[in-house]
Amino acid sequence: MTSEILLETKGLEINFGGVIAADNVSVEIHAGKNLAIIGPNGAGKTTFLNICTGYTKPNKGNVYFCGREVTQKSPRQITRMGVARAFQIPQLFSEHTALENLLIAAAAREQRWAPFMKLGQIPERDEMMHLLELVNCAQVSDRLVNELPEGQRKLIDIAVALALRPKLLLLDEPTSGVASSEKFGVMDILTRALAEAKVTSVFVEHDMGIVEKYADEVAVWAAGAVQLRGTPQEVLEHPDVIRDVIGEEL
Amino acid sequence: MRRWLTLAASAAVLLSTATASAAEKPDELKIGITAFLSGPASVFGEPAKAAADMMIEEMNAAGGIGGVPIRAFFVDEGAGGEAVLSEYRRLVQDVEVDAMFASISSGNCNKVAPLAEDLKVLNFMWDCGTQRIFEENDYRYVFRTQGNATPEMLSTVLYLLKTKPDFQSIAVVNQDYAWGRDSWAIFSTALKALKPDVEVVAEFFPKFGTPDFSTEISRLQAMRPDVILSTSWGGDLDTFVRQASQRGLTNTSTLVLPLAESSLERLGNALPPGHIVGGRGDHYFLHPEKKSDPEFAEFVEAFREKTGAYPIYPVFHMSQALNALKAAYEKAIEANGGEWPSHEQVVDAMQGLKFQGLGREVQIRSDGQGIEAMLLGTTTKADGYDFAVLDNMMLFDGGQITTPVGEVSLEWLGTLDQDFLDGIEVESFSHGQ
Amino acid sequence: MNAQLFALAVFDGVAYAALVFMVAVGLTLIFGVLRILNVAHGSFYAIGAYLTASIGGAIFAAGYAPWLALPLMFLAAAIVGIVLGGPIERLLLRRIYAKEDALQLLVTFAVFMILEDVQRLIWGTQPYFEATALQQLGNIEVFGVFYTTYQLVVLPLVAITVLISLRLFLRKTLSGKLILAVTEDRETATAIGIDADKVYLLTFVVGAALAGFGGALASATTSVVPGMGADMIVLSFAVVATAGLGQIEGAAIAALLIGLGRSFAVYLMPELQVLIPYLIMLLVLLVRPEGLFGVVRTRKI
Repeated sequence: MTSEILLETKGLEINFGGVIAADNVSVEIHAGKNLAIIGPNGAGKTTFLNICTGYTKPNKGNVYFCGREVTQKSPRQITRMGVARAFQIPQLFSEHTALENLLIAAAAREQRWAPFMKLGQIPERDEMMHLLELVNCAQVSDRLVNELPEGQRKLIDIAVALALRPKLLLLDEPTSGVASSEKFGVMDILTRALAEAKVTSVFVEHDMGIVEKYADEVAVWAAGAVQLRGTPQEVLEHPDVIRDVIGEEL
Repeated sequence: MRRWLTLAASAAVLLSTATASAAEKPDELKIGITAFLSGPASVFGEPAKAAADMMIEEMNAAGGIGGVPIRAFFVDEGAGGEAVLSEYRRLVQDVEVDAMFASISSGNCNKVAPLAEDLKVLNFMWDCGTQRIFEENDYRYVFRTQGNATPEMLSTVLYLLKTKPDFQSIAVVNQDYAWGRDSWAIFSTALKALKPDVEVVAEFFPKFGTPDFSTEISRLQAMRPDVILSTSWGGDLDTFVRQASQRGLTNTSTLVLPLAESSLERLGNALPPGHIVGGRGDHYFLHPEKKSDPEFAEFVEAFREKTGAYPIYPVFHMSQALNALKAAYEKAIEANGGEWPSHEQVVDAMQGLKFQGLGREVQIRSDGQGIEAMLLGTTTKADGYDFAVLDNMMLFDGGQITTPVGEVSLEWLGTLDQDFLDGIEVESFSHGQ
Repeated sequence: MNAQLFALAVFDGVAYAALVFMVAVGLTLIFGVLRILNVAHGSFYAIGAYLTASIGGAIFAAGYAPWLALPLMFLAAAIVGIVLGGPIERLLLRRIYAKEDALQLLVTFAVFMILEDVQRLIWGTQPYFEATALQQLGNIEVFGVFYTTYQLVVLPLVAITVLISLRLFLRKTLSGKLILAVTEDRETATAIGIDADKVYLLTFVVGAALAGFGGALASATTSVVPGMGADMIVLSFAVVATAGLGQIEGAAIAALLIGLGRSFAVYLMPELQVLIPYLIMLLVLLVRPEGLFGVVRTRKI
């Protein structure tokens, strides 16, 4: 049984001054299957995410989301179509509280503009509080985000992405910067929230323990191309992967 | 045969150029005129240009000067000193004007005078007031067809002393640039010489173009001087008078405004009665000696129709310059036996020249400076005008109040005394007269 | 200096500061959101003044009621914001947001020069004066000195109202929060789908209208002459730099500082009066280069 194809790329190529960051990349991402992307540094993993979310335009090739071409669209347009992105450094409004960040995202989603309404009065408030609960951050809803620890900032960042009701969430190293002891806790909350919101995720990761536990599929990137793709067991025990990727991690 | 013809032709040419030492009568008499056509001082330049256009048209309709029509070329002083100088050169050397009228700005006059002397072109300082030019140097080609700052300020002091002999304290609010500073230096030197016991309570020199005198006015209200002098003009004067009037400063102090003739109409009812106004010469659209003169009245009406406002002193200055030029040419033509004069002959004719613009007769004296009468008055309200007009007017003869030839103004003024004051002849006029 | 003079200096300083604030706040708002230093801001001020003075002069001469003065000022501000500010942002500024700062400065400077000529073309070079609003309200006597009610009471009140309204709008309302979000981090804001184009347009129009309103208010107190825009832009730059770019409350405090500084200088050292705003700016920037309330911004990427 094949589930719906959310994102599809065909023949992506991009060349940064001699460095081939994407080499004929053709990939399908299916709904409900969380994909982990691994590979050595400089392999083009982040470039791939950038192309899919409109931050970089490829020299050649196409990107389709739910069947519609999005190759030349702006990040904002792609976001509004249902692809959200969470960056390595959480992109939050540090002078605002956790809840305010979510409310702003909700307002943006609904394109609300009321000059006389207070932010806290928008109809989406309950929905946003629920999202905060989902990521276990409801208790800090009134705290300024720049006062919170990195783990919570990450989760709130995810919540903001979820506020936009995406179908697909692309994450750039979701546990980087999080203390080792907390990594699994954060990922537990994250995957549970995504499952409940019915959001498929694609995440770049360097921690193989995380990959093994939380990914449904793994794809290996090297020299701008997908070298291998399969279940975590298949990929992580492949000798080339052990040599080139995991070896590097140790 | 051919050689004989050539000889005869050459002789004929030589003869014709030699006779009567006459210069070639030109197709048109070209004048270069500098004025502020942009920037704050265009409040002077624009009316002056309008007047020049009108007067030249009229003069040409009557045959021009010596039968030659006049053509004016204007230079905008608003483009800056450097631009003025290069345009000046171009007009003299390329366009070959017969005379230059320059300038409104004393700064420009300071630079233009030596340039005119260098280029040997007849130059009339038609509006700038600095008295230093003839006091510091001698010129053959440079003349001033109007008074200068010294008689203007001295007549103001005299009018003040004659109308308010018992005032005790004075403050000054002048624009912070050469004119503002120099005019105060002249005024205060004369005042201290003639009334040593007067107290100067404050000296304010706000920035040129300042939009707000609120703080100075507050201070002046607290100090309550009897008299407040301001030689400012244009927007600055308008603002100062309006703000002073709004806050009631004009109730407690008498304003003395030597350049306010040029702002009377614009100020409307903002300038209350009882304040002293001057016009840098005997310039006033209701000049007591001239207003009944049909030519004068006609000109005033025509000017008003063309520009929408009554003429102000730059207009009078322009008429003086044009009439001076005409008088000089006519004098030179007569001295030349009716033939068109050379440039040098016109310059020679300027010595002692008498001419008349819209006001009283002006005479050029030996150092090139014009002797011009001065008119001051006190504001009053009168029927038929929705702005202040002048009453209790005094006309001062220029000869008595201009620094004698060869002396420096600030030194001469310091020597004035009560005898001088008593010896001043003045004629008085009221508004309706 | 005794108590009377001190009080007088304070009153004068506050009245002056109120006008300067109106212009500076628009400038700092535009910079905070669009990150463009709008040199043409001075022209908005001047055109607001010219519109009010010329239209006011015409209608009051025709006999219309004096209380129309204030609505006329709002109208002038709106015209400046919408008719002038809107097209400038949409047609011109939008194309240069990604360009380097020097180019942006040149472009707004060019707009400023064009608008200076436009003023001359439409209104000529003679001074305009329309003081009906001020005259209607009469004088107040304080410590033996007469002030116009307009300058002593109305202007500071209006300035404070604008300050409070802006603050409430930005911090409490939805639109305000969205503007603040875009100001804080344009990339994040765009990433979550905020229509930054709309925010920029709105901000520029409001900023321009504020400057126009400042000019309209000022026109009742002074002669409207060519070049008043240039003077005001230099002064408001000094205020904005002192306060810290993008700081609205800071602009109020800096305007007050500079207003009081200037008026005390007139009382104590008149020669320094013109220098004061720039001396204050210099001193503040030497100690705190980002301005009194400025935030040192780190770039995200």
